[in-house]
Amino acid sequence: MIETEIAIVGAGPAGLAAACESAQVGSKVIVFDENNHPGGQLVKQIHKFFGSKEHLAGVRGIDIGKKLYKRALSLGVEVRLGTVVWGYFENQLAVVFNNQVEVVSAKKIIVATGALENTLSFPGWTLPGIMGAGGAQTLMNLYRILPGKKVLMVGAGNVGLIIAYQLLQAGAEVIAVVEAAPKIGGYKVHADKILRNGVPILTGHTVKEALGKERVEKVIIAQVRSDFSIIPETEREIDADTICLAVGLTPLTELLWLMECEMRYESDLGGFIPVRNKNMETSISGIYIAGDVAGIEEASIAMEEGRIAGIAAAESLGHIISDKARMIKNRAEESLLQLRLNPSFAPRMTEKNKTNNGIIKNSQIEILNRNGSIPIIECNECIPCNPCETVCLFGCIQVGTTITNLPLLNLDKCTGCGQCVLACPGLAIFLLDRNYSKDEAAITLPYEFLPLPKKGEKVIALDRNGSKVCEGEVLNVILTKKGDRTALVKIAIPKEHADKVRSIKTTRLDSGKEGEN
Amino acid sequence: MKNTAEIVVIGAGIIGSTITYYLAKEGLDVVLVEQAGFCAGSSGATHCQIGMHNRFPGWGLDLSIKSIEILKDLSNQYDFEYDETGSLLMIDNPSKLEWIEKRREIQFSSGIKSYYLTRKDLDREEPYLSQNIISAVFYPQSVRINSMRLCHALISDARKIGADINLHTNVNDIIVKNRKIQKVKTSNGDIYTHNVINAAGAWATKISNLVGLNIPLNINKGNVIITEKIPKLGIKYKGEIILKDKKGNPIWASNEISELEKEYSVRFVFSQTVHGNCLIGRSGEFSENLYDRDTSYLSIRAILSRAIKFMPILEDVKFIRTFAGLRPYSIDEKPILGPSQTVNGFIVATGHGDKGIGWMSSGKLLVDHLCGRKTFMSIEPFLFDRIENNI
Amino acid sequence: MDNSKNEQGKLVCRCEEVTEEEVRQAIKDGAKTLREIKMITRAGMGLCQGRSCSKIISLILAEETGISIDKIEPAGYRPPLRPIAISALAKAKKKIGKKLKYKFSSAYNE
Repeated sequence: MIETEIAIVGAGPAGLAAACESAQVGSKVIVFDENNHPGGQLVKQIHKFFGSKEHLAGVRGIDIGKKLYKRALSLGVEVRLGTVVWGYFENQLAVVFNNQVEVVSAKKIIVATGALENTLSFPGWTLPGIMGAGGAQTLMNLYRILPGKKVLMVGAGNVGLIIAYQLLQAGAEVIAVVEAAPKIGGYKVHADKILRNGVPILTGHTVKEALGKERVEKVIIAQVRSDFSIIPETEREIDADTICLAVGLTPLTELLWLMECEMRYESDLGGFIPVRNKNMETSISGIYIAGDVAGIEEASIAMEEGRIAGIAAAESLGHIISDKARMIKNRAEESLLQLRLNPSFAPRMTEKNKTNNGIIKNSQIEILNRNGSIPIIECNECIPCNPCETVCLFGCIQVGTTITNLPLLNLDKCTGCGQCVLACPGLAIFLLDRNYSKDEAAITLPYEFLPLPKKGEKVIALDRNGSKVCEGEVLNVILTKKGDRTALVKIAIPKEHADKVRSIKTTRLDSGKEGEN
Repeated sequence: MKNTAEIVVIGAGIIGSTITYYLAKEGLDVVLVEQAGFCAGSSGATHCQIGMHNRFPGWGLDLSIKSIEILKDLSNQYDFEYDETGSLLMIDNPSKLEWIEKRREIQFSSGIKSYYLTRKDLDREEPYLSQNIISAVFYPQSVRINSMRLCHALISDARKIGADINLHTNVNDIIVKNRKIQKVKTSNGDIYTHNVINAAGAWATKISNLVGLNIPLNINKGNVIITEKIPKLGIKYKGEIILKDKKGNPIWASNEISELEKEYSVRFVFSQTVHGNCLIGRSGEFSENLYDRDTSYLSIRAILSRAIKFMPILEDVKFIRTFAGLRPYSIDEKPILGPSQTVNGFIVATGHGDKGIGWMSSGKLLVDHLCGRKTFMSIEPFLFDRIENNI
Repeated sequence: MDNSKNEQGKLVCRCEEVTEEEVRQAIKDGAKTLREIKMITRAGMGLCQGRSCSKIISLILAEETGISIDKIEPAGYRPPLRPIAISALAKAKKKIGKKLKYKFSSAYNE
C-alpha cells in the first residue's frame, strides 16, 4: 500500500504544475505516469511556446517539461514513472509498476490524464502508414524514426500545422495539408511556416480513400461542401506513403468515469468532461482535474489549471490558509482569462500604418529606408504571445498587458541585432536591409532545418507560398546558444524581390518542387 | 410504447427474452419492459456456458438438457456463437478419484457421457495444464454460447412477430385493485394489463414489492476476468471439481487453496470464446447492495491467483476487462416459476442463481404451462406457491 | 491497386474488424446505445476497448437515430484501464495495510 496526501495521475504540464504548487506549501505528493518519461505531451513539442514570460513563452516545449520536472523533484515530489493507474477500488487507486500491483491511499486525487487523438474512418484507413499526427510526432521526436517520406496531413488546426512543420524538419516531404473546414483552424503563423516551405494548405478538402497493398501508396482527396459532404468529380489522386490524422482530441476521462464523477458533454472542449467547480474539483469531493482531461485547450492553460487544482487540494488539507490560496488562484484565473482570449485577426490595416505586411508605428514610416536591417513583423493575428516584447533589450517592440495585442515596432533604438527574429515562436519576424548593395537587398530569416546552409552557398529564394522567386547567396549563418537552435540565415537577393522572399529552399527538399504551388 | 397488453414481461435478460419470444410465437399481445439495455443484468455478466459435469439426475439436469436442445435448434436460425465445446473437469488429488468415479456412474445412468483423460492424454491434448493435474474427465455434451447475441436475436425476432419491446424503461409501480393487476406504470407511460411476468433477476424482489409481495433472494456477486485474444488453449471450457461435505458445504479441491481464495469462494473456471478471448472465474460474495456491480479488487486477485495454479501459461496473458454479475438465488436454490395465488395475474420467473443460461428452458416451461400446453417436464418443483406460502 | 480492406466495407472498429455497415444494421435492429451496439457487433471489445472507435460510432448513432451527441454516453468503463499481465495480480502479495518500501529511482534519464 502506498500512502500519500495527494496522488496525481499524469506527469504532464497540468500534473507537474499541480505537484509543484501543492508541494511548495508542504503537501506530500506522488505523481504517477504510465510513460517512462515525464512531461506528457511536452516531451514531443520541439517548437517554441507562445504565451507570456510566466508561461515560459519562447521556450521549447521539451525544455518547459524538463524545467517543471526538475522543479517538482526539488520540491520533494515523488514521481513514479512507468506506473499505470488501472483501477479505482473503494476510494483507492490501483497502480501497476514493473508488473507489480499496488494500491494507493491518498487523501486527495488530482486526475491530469490528458487527451486522446481522434480517428477518422475512411476506406483504407487501417492500412499501415496511417496514424495519428501525435503518433507521428512521438515516432519522430521521441524515437527518432521518420514516420514516412511522403506525408499527407489531415487537419489544419495547430496540431496538424505544427506537426507538418516538424515532419519537414525531420526530412519528410509534406505533400499537402487538407482541411475540411473552409478556414485554417490553427494560428496563421503556424500556417505561414509551412506555406513558405512549399506545403499547400487545401481548405474545403478531405481524404476520401487510401489505397495500397502493404501500406498506403496513394490517397484520394476531394473537395467538400460546407456540410462536409464530398463534391462529386472533384477527386484527385496523389502519391503518399503516410497519412497523419490531426482531427481533434478527446479528453481521456476513463478514470473519472470509473470514479463515477458527474460528466457533461462540451463539444468545444472535445467531448465528455467532468463537471467541476472553480477549484477544479469534480462532483466527488477530494477528486480534482486539470489539463486536457478538463477540456482540450493547451499546455499553458493546463499548467494554470494544475496550479489551481494543486493549491485547492493543499488548501483543503490545511497546508495553506484560504487568503493566500485565494491569491494564487486569482492570479491563475487571470492568466487563464488572458490565455483564453480567442485569436482574432487584426483590424484591417490601412496603407498609412502598414507596409509589406510588417507592422510599423505610423511615425516611423520615413525611417524605413534607413541603412541597415530593420525588423519586419509579419504577425497580424491576435494570439496570446509576447516574447518579442520581452526579448528586445532596447524596448523597441511593444505588446502591452493584454498579450493578444499586435506588436508595435519603434525603430528609434533598433540596432538590427535580430534577437526578436530568434525569439518569435511563430518565426514571423524577419530582418530586411533594402540597401545592402546597389542591386541587392539582404534578408535575415529564422532557420530551423538541418543541415544549415553555408556562407557563400547559392540558394533558391521562395515567396510566402513556397514558390521560387529568384536565386540568392548566403551571406552569413549565425547559430548561438541564445537562439536556442534557431539559426539566423542572411541572404542577398535582387532588390526588387525584397518584399516577396521569405524562405529558402531547404537542401532536403530535392523532389523537384521548384516553383510548384 | 403500447398502452395495453395481454401480458407484460419485466426484464430483458435471458429469461425475460426467452419468455417474450415464446409468448410472441403463441400470438399473445406481449409488451417487454427493461430498465437498461437488453441483457444488461446478470445475463450479460456470465461465462455463458451450460456444463454437464455438475449435473445429476433430477430437475436440474432435465432443464439443462432441454436448454441445450432448444439452443441447438435456435443456432440453426441465429448466430449466437453456439459452440459444442464440451467441458473438462480437472483432478489434482488422487484421493478424489474414487468419488469422481461414483459421480460418473450416476451421471451416466441419466445419459450424461464422460471420458477419462490420463496424464499422458493430457500431455498430448492439454499441454497447458499444470503438471499437478493428474487426470481429467471430459464431458462432451457441454456447450457455450454468447448470451448477448442470444438475447438480441430472441428480442429482435419477438419484435418482428409483434411483441412491443421497451428498453431503458423503468417500472415504477404495478397497480393492483381487488387483488387483480390493473396496470403497470413505467417511466414512459402506463400499460393497462392484467398479467405481469416478473423476470427481473436480481431486481425481482424490488418488483415483487410493488404488488405487496416479497420474494426473498440471496444475491451473490461474482467477478469475471476477460483476457486478450490468444490461440486456442485446448478444450474451451475447463474447471476444477469441488467436493461437498455431508452438510453440503464445499470443501476445496486443491490443497493449495489460499486464504484469499477461500474468502471469495473461488472455484477455477476457464472458458474460451470463438473469438479467442478467455473468461476466467469464478468467485462469489454475498451482496446486500443491488447496485454494486463494481469489480472487487481482492476478488479478481483471488480468481487469478487460483487460475495460474491450474494453467500457469496464463501468467503472461494480459487481461483487458473485468465485470461483475449478481446471481439471484432463491432460498432453496430452485428457480421460481409460476403465478401468485394472492395477487391475480402476477407471475414469477426468477431465482435461477448462476444457471440462467443453463436453465433458459424454464422460460419455455413457464410459457407452455401458462398457455395450457403439454410441458416438457413437470413445473411442480418450481411453482411460486412454495415460496409464497412462507412469505 | 489492391485494397482488400475495402472489400469488407469501411471499418469502424479495427480491433474487432467491425464495418460501418454492421454498426448501422445494429442500430436498425434497435440498438440505441453504444453498449448495445457493442454487444451486437463487438465494436469496442478489442484491445483498445473502444478508444479508437467510440467517437466514430457515436456520430453514426446520432446520425441514424437523431439522438443528440451529448446524450450518447460511452459503453461503460471497467478496470483495468490498460491491459495488465495476469501475473501482476495473481502473484501480488497480500500485504494490505502494510507499507511496502518502494525502491524507485526518479531520475530523468536523458
